[in-house]
Amino acid sequence: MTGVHDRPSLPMFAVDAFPSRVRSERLVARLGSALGIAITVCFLTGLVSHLHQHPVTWLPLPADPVWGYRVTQGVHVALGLATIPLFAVKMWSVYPHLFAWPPSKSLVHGLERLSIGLLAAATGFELITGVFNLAHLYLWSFLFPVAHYAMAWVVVGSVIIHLAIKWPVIVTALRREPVASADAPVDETTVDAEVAAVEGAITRRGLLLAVAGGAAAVTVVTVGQTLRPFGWSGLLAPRSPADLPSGIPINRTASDAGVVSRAEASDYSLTVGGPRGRAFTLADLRALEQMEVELPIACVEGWSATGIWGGVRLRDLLDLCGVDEGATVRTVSLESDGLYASAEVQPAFARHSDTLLALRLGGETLTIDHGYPVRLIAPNRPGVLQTKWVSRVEVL
Amino acid sequence: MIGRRIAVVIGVLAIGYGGLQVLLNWEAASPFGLVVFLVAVAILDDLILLPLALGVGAVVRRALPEPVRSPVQAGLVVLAGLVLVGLPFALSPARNGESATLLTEPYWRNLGVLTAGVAVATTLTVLVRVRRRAGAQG
Repeated sequence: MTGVHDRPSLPMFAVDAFPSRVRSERLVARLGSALGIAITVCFLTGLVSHLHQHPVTWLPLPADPVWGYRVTQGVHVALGLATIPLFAVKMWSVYPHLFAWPPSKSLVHGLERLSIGLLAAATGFELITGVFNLAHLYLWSFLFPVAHYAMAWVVVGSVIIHLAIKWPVIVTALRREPVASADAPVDETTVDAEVAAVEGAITRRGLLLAVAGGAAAVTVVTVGQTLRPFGWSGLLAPRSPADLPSGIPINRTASDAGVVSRAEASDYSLTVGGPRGRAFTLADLRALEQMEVELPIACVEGWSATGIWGGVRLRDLLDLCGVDEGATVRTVSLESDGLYASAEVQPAFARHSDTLLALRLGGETLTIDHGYPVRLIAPNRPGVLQTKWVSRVEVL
Repeated sequence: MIGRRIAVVIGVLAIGYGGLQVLLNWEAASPFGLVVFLVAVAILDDLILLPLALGVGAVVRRALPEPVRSPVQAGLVVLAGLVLVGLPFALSPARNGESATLLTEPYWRNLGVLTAGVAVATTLTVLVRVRRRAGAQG
């Protein structure tokens, strides 16, 4: 097995150009293992969100637990952010390989390098588009969810290929006993100082601790957007719901959606389909049995916040209109266009006792930016599918 | 060996499925824009950020003796992570724009606060190491 420094490399990029004995197969394998776990979790949680937004009949998602979406997407974003320092150091740890010469020694070697290039670029793509999406910094022509989802499969596929190719190296590197002089210092006061003096660099353990510290720091300053106990430390949180009126963030305002006049119109009514379908005025809706539920609104952007929502149970309305229990319905917004102007509500959600057509938030009438006069609020569901300014409930 | 070959096939199929998503959503996926962004990411990573990190690393290695060097290197790793996450928020034109609840923190100031925090932690670590070393030698 050859080490990093035994590889021939481009003369102008001789390995001595950026020497560090901290780079070792063991370090690379340990960083890679952590990265592999993070990628797997991000992929699975991302898949959950994809299935919510693109439901398939053979795998209907449950409406319980009500906090499911909040937790899976909170983890997706927090872990994705924490992965940034990890990915950066992993790239650093294998950087000399980029200049290995010749570029390809054989077809297999060439394909191997191609798959690694794809893995690095696609992983970088996922991390950067993910962060830029949190920042609403759209420096691209593609639709973020489509590209982020497609590229996630590329990342996972190239990780699997990478693991298959490198398996013997990884197993050997992780099994090998650490050599005291080159790895973790046994006694910081003596060995650490010696190692550092000999190597002229941070120890491998020191580097792993720094990466862990970086990941922890990134988490602490951002996770307050979904974990309220960390609200105080959200120095870099893209959202800080703690400071908001009613505690619920707003992604799309009524004026963005162009619905202000229609939402405030005195002749507003909600049309519900079904065999006995009819229109309900706001007064009609207020006259029906009112429920109060405590439900989080959770965004694919990783933020979430709990609200006390009041209004009419969707299933009560559907029953009134004679809608079949197994029916999927669609909530349609006053918004005339936009990706999320309507949303399908599968039976498990439509019939859930917590699913409301909400008229109130925190005991007050909904504000127009929160979806006045009527919005959908259902458990375990992406925020973008909690249709605001609902004007129709169609039976599919 | 057979297991690894099967894994390679599965990996290729997964990549193919990703590619298929692009083909099936041609307009939304904007394949040309996607490839351009992918290449831009590779250039940013391999030809800008990593050389920058190596350059800073080389300066630290030459300029700083132990026991100062390692804590500074560790501090820079932590700071780099914070800057990579915080910069897009600080630079985003969506601040104070489309939504009143988006990007509400003063990110430049907070990046300054975090930089100062990392500097303090690094300095404390250096002081502890200097004292320990003095203790070990005395």
